Parts: sequence; structure tokens; C-alpha cells
Amino acid sequence: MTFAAPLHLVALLAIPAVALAFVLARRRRRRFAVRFPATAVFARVAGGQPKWRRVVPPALLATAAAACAVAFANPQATAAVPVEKASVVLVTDESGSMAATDVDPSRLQAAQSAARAFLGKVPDSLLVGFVGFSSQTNTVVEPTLDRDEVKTALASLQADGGTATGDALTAALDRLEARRGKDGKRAPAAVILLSDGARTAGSDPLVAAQRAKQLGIPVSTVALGTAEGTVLAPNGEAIPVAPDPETLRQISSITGGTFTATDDAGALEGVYKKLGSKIGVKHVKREVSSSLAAAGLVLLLAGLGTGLRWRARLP
Amino acid sequence: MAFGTGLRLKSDVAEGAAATVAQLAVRRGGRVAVVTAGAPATATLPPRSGRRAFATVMRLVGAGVAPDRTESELTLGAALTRAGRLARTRGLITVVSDFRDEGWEAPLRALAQRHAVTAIEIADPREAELPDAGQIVLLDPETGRTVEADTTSPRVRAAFAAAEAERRAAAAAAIRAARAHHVTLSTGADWLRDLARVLR
Repeated sequence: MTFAAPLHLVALLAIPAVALAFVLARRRRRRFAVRFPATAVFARVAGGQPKWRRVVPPALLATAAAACAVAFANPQATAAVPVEKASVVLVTDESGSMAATDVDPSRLQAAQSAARAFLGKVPDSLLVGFVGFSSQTNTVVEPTLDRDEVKTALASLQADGGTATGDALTAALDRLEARRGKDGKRAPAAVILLSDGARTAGSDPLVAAQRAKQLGIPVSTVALGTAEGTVLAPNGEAIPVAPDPETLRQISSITGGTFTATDDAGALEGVYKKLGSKIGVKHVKREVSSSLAAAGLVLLLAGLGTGLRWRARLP
Repeated sequence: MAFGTGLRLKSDVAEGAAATVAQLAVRRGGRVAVVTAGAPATATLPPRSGRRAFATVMRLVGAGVAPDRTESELTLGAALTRAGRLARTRGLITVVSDFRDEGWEAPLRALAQRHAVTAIEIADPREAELPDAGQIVLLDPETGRTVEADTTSPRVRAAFAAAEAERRAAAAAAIRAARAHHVTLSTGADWLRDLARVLR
């Protein structure tokens, strides 16, 4: 919570001041106590008021004053609101190396379930597109509100072939560049690129990254797998398939996205969820003064009410 | 006893009552003894006769009341027992008190079996009921205890008046049960006339 006028918080000082006044008034009443021989009799019939009844009304009033003083400083809470017309494209590697099981259950299945978690996390108004690639761009889903379309494309991924990272990124950028917002400007967009290896086919991904930078589209990259990951070749030989975190890191730093390297399905899902809660929303500050002032009013009335009810006076 | 909202303090009435009784005793050639209770320094005067005895009585009862918040070393009940030991022969014992103490009923009964006892209850009109004085703090002069009182509430005032009336009724019943005379002197009335009516 932030304050638009933090200087107004000085009003909080009024609370100790009033509390001091209460204490002094009470002390004054005590000083001018009436000597009365029948005090014991009085205490027996009417002195049974518990101490908390004496404390509660002023405490309520003090809280009310605190709420009003804080409201006076224009507190603002940050709220996440979905960005209109925003779109994101999930670019997912389905090369042969994604069959490696160094990530449990396999790299491909981990990527699929993480993408599904991402779909569950993003705001409903976010357009989500999909690009699956191996030696070339295999599947393309235009950014859409229909999550099932993306889920179908996700399910159809097959780990086979090479890694054409640059082509896939270009394909995603083509789809996003075409999208225009209501005002005619290009709608806000982002790309999440998941790959588990170095480019083996197609264009240079760093060239595509430069284009993304010009378009102002951040590309967040995820390097999946361990350096020791292997897949079995048809002849039964184990081929090492280490990821290429360095290129992916460069892509993200060129375009202003985030980079994550992971070899754990749970962590990957966490990364996607985090991206999902960030992408397509913007954080706006919203005034919450009125609700605080309302709380202050309720507390004020409660303090006055209990004071009149129990103590026959305003505290 | 240093309390009074009528014409004088309760202690003044008590002092006057004690002096009157003592003077009557001395004037008729009798002997007089005093036991003071409730004060920090309790004084005892064994039975004596003559003007000097009367002067001593006046000095003792005129010594004033105990300051607030003093623990009395002698309760009313203990003072009554002491008076019973002091008075070997049958006589008239006058007990001047507001009877707010506790545990005096049994000693009073024991005393009344041998002696003629007159209980002089000192009261102030304000003790019977509280006026509407707003939010005040009541201070018990003897214990120093304070109680916040909301005298604006008719319910509170009625409850207090009822409790105080009940207490006085209980005291009166105890005095009657001990077969002692009971006279109430008020600070707001002509106490001497009231006293004379009983002593005659």
C-alpha cells in the first residue's frame, strides 16, 4: 500500500494527543473524587462494571481516528487489471531432444503441463497463440480467446526432428505484428519461448530477437533440461542433448524478457504460472481512501454507541 | 465519620452525643469510661468520676477523626468487647457509630446481656441516596477505594438507595435483636433534641 499524500499521516499524531487528554481528564476526575462513606455499598450494587467496558469505547474511537487519518493520506492499493487486446504466443520446442527424460516425466510432457498451467493462470481477456516447432515451424495457432484450440495444439506435440528456433520466433512475431489494438496501434504482446537445445536448422534466433526488440515485444525464454540429458538414437546409441541457455539468455536480454533455466517439471510450471500472472495484466494504483473512511465512520459510531450505552457519555 | 452534608459533620454529632452522655453521667456522680474505635491510635479511659474524667472524655472524643485511608487497629466489634471487659459493674453503655463496620452484631449482643446499651447511629441524609450529579468518582474515606459512579442513571440511584436502606434496616434489626436501644441522629436535624428524647 502506498500513500498519495504521505505527509498527511502526521494526522496520526492526534491520536496520542487525544489519548493523553483522556488520561488527564480521568486523572482530574479521580483528583476531585467525592468522599462518600457509603462507597462500599454503592460499589456492591453499581460498581460491577468490568474494566473492558471502560476501555473499549475509547479504543474504538482511537481506531476510528487512525482509520480516518490514514484515509486522509490517500492510500492506494495496487490492483492487477487485464490489458485489453493483449496477446501472448507460446513458442514451444518439439524437437527430438524433448523426448529426453532428464526432466520428470519427460521434457515434452513437463512443457505441456506447464503450458496448461499457464493457460489457467492468465486473464480471460488475454489472447493466447501457439507455435510448435522442430526442424521447421509445425503448428501455428493464431492468438485466440479459445483456450481449447491451444490445448489441442499442445496435445498434438511430437518430439521429433531438429530445432529451428529462429524460424519459430519469426513465425510468432509475424502473428503478433499483425494484431492491432482499438486505437490502431500495435496491441501489447509478448512471447514465451521454451527450448531445450541449440538451433540446428533455420534462421538465426538472435536476428529474430532484434526484430522483436524493434517491435517492442518482450521474449521470455526458458531453457529446459540438464546438461547430462540424452536421447536414444534409432541405433541404440545415447546422444547428448544439452540445452543452450546462453542463446536463450541473449534473446531475453535483447528483447527485455525474463530468462529461466530449469530442469524440474514443478519449477517449470511455477515459471509459467508466474509469467501467466504477469503477462496481460497491468498494475494500477487504486484509491482506497473511501473504504478506509467508511471503516472509520463505522468504528466512530461503534465507539460513540458503546460509550453512550455502557458509560452514559461519549468516551 | 468526617462527612456531613447537613448542618454539621457526622463526627461533630458523634462528639456532641458522647459529650452529652458523659456529662449526664458525671453530673449524677457516676463514673465514665471511654473506648474509641476506628482511629489509628485507639484510646481507652477506664471508669473514673468527677470533672477531670469529663475533661479527659472531651479530650479523647474531641481528638478528631482518623485521616483518610488509615487502617483501624480496633474494629467496632473489638471495641465493644474491650468496653465489656472495662465495665465490671452493670451500667449504661452508649455506642456512637454509623455502624458501617462489620462484625459488631455478636459483641453488641454479648454486651447487651449485662448492660443497658444504647446504640446511637449517626447518619447523613446524603448517605441514603445519591443526587443526579453526573459522572463522579466516589472515594471510600476509610479504605481509599474509588468507584466511578454514573449518577445520571435513575436505575443506579434507585439500586443504591435500596441497598443502603437495606443495610440500615439490617443494622436496626441487629440492634433490636440485641435488645439495645436504637436512636438515629442525623447531621441534617436537631440531634440534641433527638438524643434528649431518648435519654430522658
